[in-house]
Amino acid sequence: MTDVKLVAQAMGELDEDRVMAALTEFVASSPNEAEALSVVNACQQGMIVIGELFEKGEYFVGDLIYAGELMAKAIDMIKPVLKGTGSSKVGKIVLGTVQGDIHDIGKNIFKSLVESAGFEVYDLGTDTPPERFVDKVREVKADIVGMSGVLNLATTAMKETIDRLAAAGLRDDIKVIIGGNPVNGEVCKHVGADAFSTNAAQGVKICQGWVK
Amino acid sequence: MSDPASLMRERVQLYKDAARHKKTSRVLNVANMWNWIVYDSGYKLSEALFDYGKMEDALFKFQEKYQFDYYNDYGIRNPLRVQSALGHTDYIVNDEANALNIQDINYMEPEDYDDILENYFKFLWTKYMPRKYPQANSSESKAMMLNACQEFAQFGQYVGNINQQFVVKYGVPPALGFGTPAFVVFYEILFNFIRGIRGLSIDIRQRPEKVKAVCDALRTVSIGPGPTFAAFKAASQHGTDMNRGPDLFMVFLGHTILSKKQFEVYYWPYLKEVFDFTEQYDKILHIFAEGENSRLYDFYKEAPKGHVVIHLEMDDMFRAKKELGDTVCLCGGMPVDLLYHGTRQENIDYAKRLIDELAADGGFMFSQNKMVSYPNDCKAENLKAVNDFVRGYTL
Repeated sequence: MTDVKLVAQAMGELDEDRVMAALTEFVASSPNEAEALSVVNACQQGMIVIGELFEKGEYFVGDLIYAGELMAKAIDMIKPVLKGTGSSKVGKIVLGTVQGDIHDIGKNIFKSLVESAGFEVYDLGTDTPPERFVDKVREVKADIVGMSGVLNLATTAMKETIDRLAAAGLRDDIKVIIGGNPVNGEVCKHVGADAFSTNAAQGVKICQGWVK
Repeated sequence: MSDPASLMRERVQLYKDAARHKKTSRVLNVANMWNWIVYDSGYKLSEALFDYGKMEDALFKFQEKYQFDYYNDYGIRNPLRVQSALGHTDYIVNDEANALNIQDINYMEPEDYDDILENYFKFLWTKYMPRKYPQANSSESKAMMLNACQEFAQFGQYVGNINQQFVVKYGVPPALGFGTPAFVVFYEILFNFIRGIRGLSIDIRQRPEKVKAVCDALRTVSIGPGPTFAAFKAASQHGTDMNRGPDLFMVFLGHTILSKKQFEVYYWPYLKEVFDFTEQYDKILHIFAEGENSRLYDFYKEAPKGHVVIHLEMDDMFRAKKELGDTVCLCGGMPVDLLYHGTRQENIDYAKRLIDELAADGGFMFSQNKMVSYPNDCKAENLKAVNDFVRGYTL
């Protein structure tokens, strides 16, 4: 049996060689679904460590981008073993970079961290019109909407999206978090979001607090 | 003192004095104004970006209205016509939002590090160019290249002309970013033009020795067609140029993804060389540093006093003054959020606070804290009120 602590440690240290070697050995050992879930959990624990190291300043944005890539690679490797396994999710997040903005790095970092924290993420991509957020929230009965943007114009699109969610009668049933360069307390208040963050790891904590 | 020649002399002297941490009679107002200039003029972004006459008209009207002392850029930063002549640009122009977006690019593969090390220009011509401009590799390539060369020549004429016009008409010295010899550490070339944000983030973890090797080999290079920093240094005379503000300019963009440790490896050795040059040759370096920089202050503190101005984009300027103010002249501070959401009086009050607290003993240039680009970055009446106040406020 693969040592899950070592997987978590290697993931936290962003040591791709060790992560992939451990997972290759694990997949070759014909594991059962419970064992596969424990390895996924180990990868998620590693991502939590990465988030903590980011908050301490040890890791920075480039490391989080790499962590997202590594996590995706790890999950791809374990996926065949997980097939059919219904791991329970803690909540549903509809996520996207808002209309007019095509920056997706911050969104993708947040996505990889929040998925690791057990959320089911519906990623709408970039330059997302307000109605796409509205339609997806309605369709999946989301708990949270996450809107990202780097450009200052994103704040206008965030407000427009939240207004549309309200007009559709969905606003009271969801929490809204905004993230990216132009957001702060003033912007959060102005656009009508519930919370903001310029730090993906903190953003995840806020979302976790909402679904407790 | 209102004729352009006198204004020019005054502005150059104020720049030098502020950079040298001397107390000045007033604070310089540096325009961190970008596509908002086009928005304010009433032109569509797509019109002005492709028509030098319209861009020039927008800039002249802007200066006559707001009367800045210096500009970072005169619509030069994004030479869309040159790129378009080669059949492609990485830019997406959105007139409705007055937005110019750029995709994260990647025109190199991990194995290309060795090619760059062996012969950088060969890599550019044989790999980078065909990947970025596939149409220029077709049967029409000769005509496209010729057209691109002509566009490039016209662009060069525009750059020279607009800088000169601002000197002659308004007494505004050449632009800080695009009218001054401008350099970046090679890491920035990888980040912005060749490998992209995602690719470089992966490479720093997967093949750090390769990234470091090309950074060591190419060190600091010109933004655009100018000489490398090494060649610029070799041709430099001692003393600062009294026809412009800074003697050289650097832009920091890719540092926004680097931890302090990574900055020390991929950035600092080459930046230190530039710092040392400014002291040795008595030059002034102006840096535009995007994002929040406080984790890097230990490096910035190494700047030789009186030789380095840093425009900090999203930093707490009052904290920056405490930590860096002894050595670095700071530039920036005026929040775009306030320029858009605040009242006229709130804006003036904040501008006064910035000047009172940051400029009392010299070492500060007033500017906006972000690149003002979109309609919701700024309200015209607030900008006008702030600029009128800053221009008339004596220290």
